[in-house]
Amino acid sequence: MNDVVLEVEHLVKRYGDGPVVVDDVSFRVRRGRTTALVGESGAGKSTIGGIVTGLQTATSGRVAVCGEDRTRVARSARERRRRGAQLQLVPQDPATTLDRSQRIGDALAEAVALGGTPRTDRLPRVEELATQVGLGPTHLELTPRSLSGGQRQRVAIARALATSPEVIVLDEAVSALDVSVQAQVLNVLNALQRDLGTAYLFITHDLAVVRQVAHDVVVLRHGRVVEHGAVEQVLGDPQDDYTRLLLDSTPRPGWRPVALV
Amino acid sequence: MTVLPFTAARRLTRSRTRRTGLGVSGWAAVVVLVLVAAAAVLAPLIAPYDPNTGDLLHPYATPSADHWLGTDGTGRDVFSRLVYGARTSLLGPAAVVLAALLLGVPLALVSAWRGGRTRIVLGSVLDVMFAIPGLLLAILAVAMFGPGLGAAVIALAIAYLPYVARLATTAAEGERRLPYVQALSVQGHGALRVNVRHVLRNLSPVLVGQASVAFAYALIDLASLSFLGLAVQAPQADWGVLASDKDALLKGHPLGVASASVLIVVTVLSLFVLGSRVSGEDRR
Repeated sequence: MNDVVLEVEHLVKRYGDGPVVVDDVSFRVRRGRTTALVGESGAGKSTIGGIVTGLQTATSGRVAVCGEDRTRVARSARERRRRGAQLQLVPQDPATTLDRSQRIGDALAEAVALGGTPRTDRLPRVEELATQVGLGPTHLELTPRSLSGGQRQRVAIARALATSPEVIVLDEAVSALDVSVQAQVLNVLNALQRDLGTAYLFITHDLAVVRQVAHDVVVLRHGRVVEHGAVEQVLGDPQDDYTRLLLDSTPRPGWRPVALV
Repeated sequence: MTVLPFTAARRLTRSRTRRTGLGVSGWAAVVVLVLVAAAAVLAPLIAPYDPNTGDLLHPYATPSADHWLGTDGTGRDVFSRLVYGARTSLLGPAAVVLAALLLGVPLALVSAWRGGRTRIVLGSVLDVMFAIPGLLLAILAVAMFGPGLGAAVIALAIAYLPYVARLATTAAEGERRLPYVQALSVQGHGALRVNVRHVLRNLSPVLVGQASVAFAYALIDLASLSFLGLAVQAPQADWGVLASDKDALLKGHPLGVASASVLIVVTVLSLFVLGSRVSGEDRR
């Protein structure tokens, strides 16, 4: 199974003596494909994202990126950089996803330098990254304050791409954007995946977004996987009552609110 | 890191900074502080007389063309003493604030980054230090090491450390939780780089604001210690020493005392105004 870039096996997370927030979760993300983690607030989506990115530790279970075990914390700068070259993160909030006092060009150059790009090749690489996400040279001179929410998320995506990672974790990365900007960013992500073969772990509560970008979907409820499979199968013919409830709670013409229980 | 060329966009950013800048009161404070600092640096060029050489034949001379603010009880030129006094009056608080920042900010960054037990232990140490009044510590230090600016500065730096560290910790914890810090960590940057290049830079307005306020308090505390005869010692010129000239007051010559007091008040006020403008406190 060489095309598996992210493997999560029997993941459990419990905070102290509190309830189990992630309970025996397992799934795989394959190269060039998008797996969506969906569920209501508190389902454990972002906790799984935090563990996968190394920002949190699991109580038990295993996370492997490109076959390399990530259960323990990185011990050296070299290991940190190698992990960064394999997996990257695009956070949710466009307002705080970038360092507010750093110019866009400098933020991208910093990420490029981390990937080991020689000094002389960094500026062309920064411009290439900006172009890939639909930004121009003028944007490189600006600070995040001068950019719109959609532009900031594009920068965050470009920054994540700087190390040419195998997989990018997008934690509600388009949830804070309005619909038209959301579509633009999703188109950018689709195009990049087509061109670069990057895999995405898409954490979202928006099933419309899942239909648009994901190949596979993992439905979570109270930290447990209730359904897992191809998007067409899970969203087209849901086998679990909770998945059906989630689908029924998605607004559409003539829709009436459905309480999730 | 690659340095990108400046363009019109950067000018745009700069003009925005100007619009949300110091304001009239902030700039007035800057002018006052620059004048005081210039007086301290250029004292030998500005002061018409040696601050410590007196003319015993003309004690308590009234203001004249020769002595703009008159002379003190030993015939020393009050204006010259005020100008030279700016040196110790600024140097002492600067040393206090610098030492408190150099110790307090790294502690704050470590506490915010590590969290957990590190935060609890460091927080407890700071709580203990909070319980010791600065002036009491300074008096204790003077009793142990003898009167002088050095002992007072060290004692006040220790006393100011928990205030600086506690504020910096709170600000650093807020910054630490921001998604960009998490993204940088995932990217592969080490804690040192993230803290120094990003977190510290974004904390700088808060720290500069805090430093200016701490500077003002340190100036008052050192002036008080000089007034009590525990810090700067007569005949060395210092605003605190000048403000404590009881003989001049009793003999009806308050100009020197009043001038030193006004300088202390104006400088402290300017620092408060600048601190609040820089940290954005008065715009929230």
